[in-house]
Amino acid sequence: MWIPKLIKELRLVLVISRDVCRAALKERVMYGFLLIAFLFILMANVPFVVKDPKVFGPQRPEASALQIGFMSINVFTILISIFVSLNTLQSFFSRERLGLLLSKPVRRVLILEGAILGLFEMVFLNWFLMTAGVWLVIFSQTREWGFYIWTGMSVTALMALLYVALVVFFYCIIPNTMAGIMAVLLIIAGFGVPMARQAISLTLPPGFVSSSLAFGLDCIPQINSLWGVSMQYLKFFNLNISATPIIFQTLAVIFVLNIISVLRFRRFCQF
Amino acid sequence: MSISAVLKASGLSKYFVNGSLWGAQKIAAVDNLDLCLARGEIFGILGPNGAGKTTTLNMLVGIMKPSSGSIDIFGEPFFPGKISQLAKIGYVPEAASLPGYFTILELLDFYGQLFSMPASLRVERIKRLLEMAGMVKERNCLIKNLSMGQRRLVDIMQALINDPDLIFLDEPTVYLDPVIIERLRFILLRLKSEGKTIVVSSHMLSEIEKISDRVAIINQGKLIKVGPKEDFLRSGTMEEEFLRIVKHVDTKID
Repeated sequence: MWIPKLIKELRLVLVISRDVCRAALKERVMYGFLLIAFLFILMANVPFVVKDPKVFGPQRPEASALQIGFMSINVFTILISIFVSLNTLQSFFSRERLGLLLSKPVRRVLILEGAILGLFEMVFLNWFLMTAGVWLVIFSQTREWGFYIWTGMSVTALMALLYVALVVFFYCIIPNTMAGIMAVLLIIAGFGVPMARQAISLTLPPGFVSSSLAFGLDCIPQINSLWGVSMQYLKFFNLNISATPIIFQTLAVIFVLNIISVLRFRRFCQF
Repeated sequence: MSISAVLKASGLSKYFVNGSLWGAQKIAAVDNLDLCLARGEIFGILGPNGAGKTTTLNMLVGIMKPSSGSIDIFGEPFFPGKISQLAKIGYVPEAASLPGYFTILELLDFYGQLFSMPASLRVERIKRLLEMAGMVKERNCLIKNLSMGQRRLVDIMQALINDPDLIFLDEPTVYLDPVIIERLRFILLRLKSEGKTIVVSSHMLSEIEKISDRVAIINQGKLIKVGPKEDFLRSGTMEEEFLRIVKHVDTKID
C-alpha cells in the first residue's frame, strides 16, 4: 500500500527538482562562474605556468596542474552553490510562485525536497563539467587514465551538497540575501574548529561542558577536513586522515540541515 | 449543510499583525465571513481594492491559514496542508509568476504532472485546453514571449489542467483586452454548463454582472451583502448598487 504512494511522491519530487534545476541552469551568473573556472582549468595546461618553480617548487607539472584544478573547482563550487542556489530559491519561492504550487495537491515537504534535489542536480552537473575539464587536462599531459582524480574530486561534490544544504537551511530561516552571507560565515567558522577544540581541551576539564562544546563544534561543517580528505585521494600530500568518519559526519550534517529546513519550511509557507 | 453545497466557510477571519518596536496592531483582512456555494454556480466576489477578496480566496485554496473559522470543501473539513481536496480544485492567482523559460506545452505538462496525471491524459487535456483558449498555434512559444493577456490565458489553462470541480479565479480579467475577456466569458460559461462551481473575485463589475449567478460584496474584510444577481440589479446597474452599498458602509464607519 505504501510503496505506490512512495513512488508517486518520489515522482513529484523529481518533477519539482527538474523544474528547479532548469530554473538554476537559466541563471546567467552560473555560466559566468563556470567560464572563469574553465579559464583557470585551461591555465593548468599552459606549460610555463605549471613548470614555474617559484610558484610550485620542484614538482611534476601534472601535480601543479592538478593543484590549480583542485583550487578552481573548490572556489567556484562554493560560489555556484551559494549564489546560484540563492538566486534560484528567491525566484522559486517567491510569494506568487510558491502560492500557486501550494494550491496543487503536493505536500509541502515534497516541494522543499524537490527544490533541494534540483539544486543538488545543478551543482553536481557543474562539478562534473569542471572535474571532467581537470581530468582531460591531466590526461593530455600524462596519457594515463587518472581515475583517482574522480575519486578525489568526489569529496568536492560532497562539499558542494553541504553548501547547498546550508543555503537552503538559512533561506528557510531568513528568506533574503542574508542566507548566503550566513552560509559563508558558517563555512569560515568551520576553519576555526580545530583551534577551538584545542582551546577547549586546554582550558576546560574533561566533563559534560567540554564534551557538549566538542559535540557542538563537530556539528559545524568542517570544510578543511574535507579538503584534507580530497587532497589525500588526489595524492597531493601523504596525509593520514581517516576519510570515512569525516564523510559520514558531513552526510549527517547535510541530513540534519535538510530535516530542520523541512520543519521550518512549513512555517515559511504560512502566509 | 445541503448535499449540493460544494464549499462552506463559517466565521472565516484573517488577522495580520502590523508590528513595530512600540507595539503591535491587529488588522482584520477578513472578518467573520460566512459563505456557502452550490454545485454548478458562478459566484462573484466583489469589493474595492484592499477589501479582502484575495485573502479570502487564498484561505479557500489552502495557501493561507485562517486566524479563525472553518472551511468545508466537498463535504470534508479543509485546511492548509490538506491535499486530498486540492486534486479537484483549480486556482488562478491574481498575479501568477509563471516561469518564462517554459513553453506553454511544457508548463501545462509540468502542472499536469503535479496532479500525478498519466502522460496520455495530460496530452489529451492539454490539447483540449489549447483549443478552448484558442492558443494551439502558440503552444511552443516561451511564456516570456507571450503578451500579458496570453499569459493570463495560460494562468487559466494551468488551473483547468486537472478538470477541477471547483475553480477559483482571482481578478481573471486583469490585463485582458475585450476580445480575450469575451473568450474567457465563453470558457467560464462552458465550464458552468459542465457542472463546475466557479468563484470569481473581481472589481470589474460589468463582468460579474454578465456571468455570475450569485454575488457577494466584501468591504473592509466584512461580508456586506450576498444574494442572487437579480437582487443587485433591482435599483439599476450592478455598479450603482455596488457604489451605493460600499459608500453607505464607509459613511457608517466614519
